[in-house]
Amino acid sequence: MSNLQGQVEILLVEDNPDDAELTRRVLNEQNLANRLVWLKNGALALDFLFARGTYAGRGTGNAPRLVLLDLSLPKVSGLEVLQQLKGDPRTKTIPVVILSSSTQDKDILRSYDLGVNSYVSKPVQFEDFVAAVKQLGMYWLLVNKPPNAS
Amino acid sequence: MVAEQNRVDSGRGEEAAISQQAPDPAATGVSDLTRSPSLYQAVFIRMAEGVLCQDSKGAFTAVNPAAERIVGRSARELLGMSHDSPQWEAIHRDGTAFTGPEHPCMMSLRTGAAYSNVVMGVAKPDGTRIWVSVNSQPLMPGGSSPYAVITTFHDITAQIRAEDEIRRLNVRLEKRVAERTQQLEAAVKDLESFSYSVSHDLRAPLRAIDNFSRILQREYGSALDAEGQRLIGVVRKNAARMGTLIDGMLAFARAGHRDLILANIDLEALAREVLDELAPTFAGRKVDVELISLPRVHADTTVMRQVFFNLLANAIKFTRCREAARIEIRGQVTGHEVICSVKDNGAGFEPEYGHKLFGIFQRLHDSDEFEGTGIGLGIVKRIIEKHGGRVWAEGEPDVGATFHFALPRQQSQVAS
Repeated sequence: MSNLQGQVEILLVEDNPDDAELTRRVLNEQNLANRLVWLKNGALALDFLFARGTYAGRGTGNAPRLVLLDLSLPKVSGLEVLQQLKGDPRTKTIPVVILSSSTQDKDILRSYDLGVNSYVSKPVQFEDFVAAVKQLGMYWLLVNKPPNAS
Repeated sequence: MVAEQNRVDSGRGEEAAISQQAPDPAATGVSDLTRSPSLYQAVFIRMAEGVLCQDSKGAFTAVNPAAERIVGRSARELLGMSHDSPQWEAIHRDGTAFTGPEHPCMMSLRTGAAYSNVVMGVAKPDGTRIWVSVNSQPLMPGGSSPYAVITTFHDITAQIRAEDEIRRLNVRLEKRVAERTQQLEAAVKDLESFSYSVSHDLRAPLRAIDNFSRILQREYGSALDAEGQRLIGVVRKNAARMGTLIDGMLAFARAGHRDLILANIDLEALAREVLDELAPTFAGRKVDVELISLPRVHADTTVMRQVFFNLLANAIKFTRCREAARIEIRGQVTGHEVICSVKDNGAGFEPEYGHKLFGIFQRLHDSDEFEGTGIGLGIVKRIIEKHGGRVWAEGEPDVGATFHFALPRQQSQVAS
C-alpha cells in the first residue's frame, strides 16, 4: 500500500489479489499507480472513504481522485459501497468506476441507478484488460475535470 | 292405464310422439298403434324409458314399470307422490335443490313447451342417489292451457359418475401439472443462475491464467527458448478459447434469464440493422442478400435482434467458401404462425445431423474449418421457444442450409 499521508490518487477495492495485481501493473506502466491504495473488502473501503475505524485519523478532505470498485466483495458489496458513497454529500463527487466480472444487466442498471460514473466489465484476455484499465486510468485521472479540483 | 292412454291420444303437445294429428301416420309408424290399444299397452309396459303421467298439480296419475325400476319405488307408492314430494330430494347437477316450479313437468304445465334432457338427481328409498335425464311433454286440448304432462326419463347415473370421476381426475391432474411446472420452473431457474454464476466465477481464474502467462512471456521471454515460448502460446490460446466458451455460456444463460418485453416489431427493419452491423465481417466478399416479405411480429426486439444476428452471422460465415454468396431472408404468414427463413448457399450440413444443430456446444464443422462455439443456434432456439415458437433447419452438404423459425400468430400478429 502506498503512503496514506499525501493525496491518494486511486482507491482500488478488489478482493481477488491476482486481479488487483494485474490492475496495479497496468496502472504502473502508465505511471498512474504511484499513489494507489488497495483494499480487499467493502467494509474497509467505507472506513477509508469516511475516515473512520481503521482509517479514523485520515480526514475526509483527502479523498481519492478515483475509486475502482469491484462488485462482488466480502462483507459489504460493491453496490452497497457505491450507494453509501453516492448518497453522502462529502463523497458523492468522487468518480467511481465499477470494474467487475459481471455483465449482468441488473448489476449494470443498478450501478447506474446509484450514480456510478462508469461501468467496465473486466476482460479475460490480456490485451483487452490492459487496454481497458489503461484507458480508464488515463481518462479519469488525466482527461476528466472533477468539480472543485485543488 | 287405458284412460291415461286416451288422454295421451288427445294431447296436443307440440312434440308429442303420439298424436292423432300426425300428418302421415304410415310414415311415422303410429297407425298400427292407434289400431291396437293392447300394443300401446305393451309399449308402455315394456319400454326401457320411465314414464310418469302427471296432472296439472304434478301428482302422478300413471307410471310404467321402467319408472318403478329406475326410481326404486312401486307404482302404488309413486301414485301417492308428486314431482316435489320430499322423498325425492331432487337436486341439480351442482347439488342445489330443485324448487317445485323448476321441475320440467311444472315448466311444461306453465309454459306449454316441451323440455328435454333435464339432468336431475333423485334419492332412492334406500338413500342412494341416482341421476336421470328428464323430458316433459305438456298435454293441451285445442290450444288451451295444459291440463296434464307426460314425463319420461332414463337412468344416466353411470354417465354422471364417469363425468364426476373425469372431473375429479382432471382437477387432480391440473394440480399435479401445476406442482410439477412450479418445480420445473424452480429447477430451470436454479440451473440458470448456477450456469450464470459459474460462468462468472470461471472468468476470474481464466483472466489470471491468460494475463500472467502474457506477463511471463513479456518479462521473462528472453529466458525461454522457442519451445518454452510455444508452450506459453498454447496456454494462452486455450485460455482464449475457454473465454469464448464462457462468453457463450453467459449469453445462453442470459437468453433464458430475460423476461420478454413484447412489442410490435418490424422484422425487415431489424434484419437490415443486423446486416449493417455485420457488414464489416463480409467486406470485400460478394454477398447477395435478399429480403422477401418479412412481416411485423409481436416479439421482444432485443432478443429477436440476437436471433437475426446469430442466423445471419452463420450464413455469412458458412458461405465464406463461395465466390458469390447468396442469402435469402424470407417471411411467410400461415394460418397460425409467422415463419421466417434464412437460406444460404454455403457449406450446408448432412441432414441426418440436423437435429444436433440447435444443441448447445454442438458443432457439425471442424473448428479449423469454421470457427465457433456451437452456442449461437442454441440461443436462437431458446429465444424462439421462449416466444412459444419453434425452430428447424434443412441442409445439404456443399449446397447450403436453411434455418427456419416460427412464431405463433396470436402472439406474433400485428396488434392493430
